[in-house]
Amino acid sequence: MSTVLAWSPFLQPAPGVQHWWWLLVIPMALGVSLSYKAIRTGDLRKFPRDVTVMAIQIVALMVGIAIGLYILVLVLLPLLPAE
Amino acid sequence: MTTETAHPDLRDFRPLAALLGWIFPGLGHIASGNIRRGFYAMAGVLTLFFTGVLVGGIDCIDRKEDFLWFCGQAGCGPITFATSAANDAFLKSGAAAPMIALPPAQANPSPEASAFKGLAHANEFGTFLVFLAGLMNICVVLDALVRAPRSDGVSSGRRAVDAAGGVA
Repeated sequence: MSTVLAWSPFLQPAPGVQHWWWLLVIPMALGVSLSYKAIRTGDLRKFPRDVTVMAIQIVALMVGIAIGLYILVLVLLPLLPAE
Repeated sequence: MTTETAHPDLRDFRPLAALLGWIFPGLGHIASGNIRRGFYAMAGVLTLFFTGVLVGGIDCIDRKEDFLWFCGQAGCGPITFATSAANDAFLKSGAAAPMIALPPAQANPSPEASAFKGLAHANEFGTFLVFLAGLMNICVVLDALVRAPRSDGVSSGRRAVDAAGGVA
């Protein structure tokens, strides 16, 4: 708590990022979706829906890749013979 | 079966809109009358940029130490250069925080770094998010270069030649 209170935003790196870095996928997906759909959506009335769908797709894909790599590295690879 | 492709004429390019889009994200679209699209693009690029600087601090934009990253980050325009200058003025000069002595290196026998220098995940993700903002703004700038003015309501085709009824 004291590190957060002593934090100077923008001058200093955010405290504790090493514990919650994976949550940064959310602003990343949102930012990429907002800027990409701003130039790719033909009808801007669909913009909020398109952005939401694309952001969810990015996050879901990243979670899927993480689960796949977890299974590969921690479950499947240890099953291989040592030699 | 033959297909016709509309080739955009040089007159369809809008270099001023592209330049404005580089000077500030989304400004090129706004200046050419695509106001909503411009603000949406601005929101996207600035979300990435400010999240990156918030997470990594201004040290995540460093023209001298991370030049290759800076090349991509520079896609955001003058705000990137201003942040790099602020890094030099506040952190590297020791004005914002005391300088800490680092282990001596061959190239620099008495190196120092600011106590506010970003390390590990904070620096990596901050640098990456601002880099991503730069790349996305390059896409926005290229779109501003070819998009027809006042075409926010057009549902198909984004180039000037398409909006004018050209064959795509």
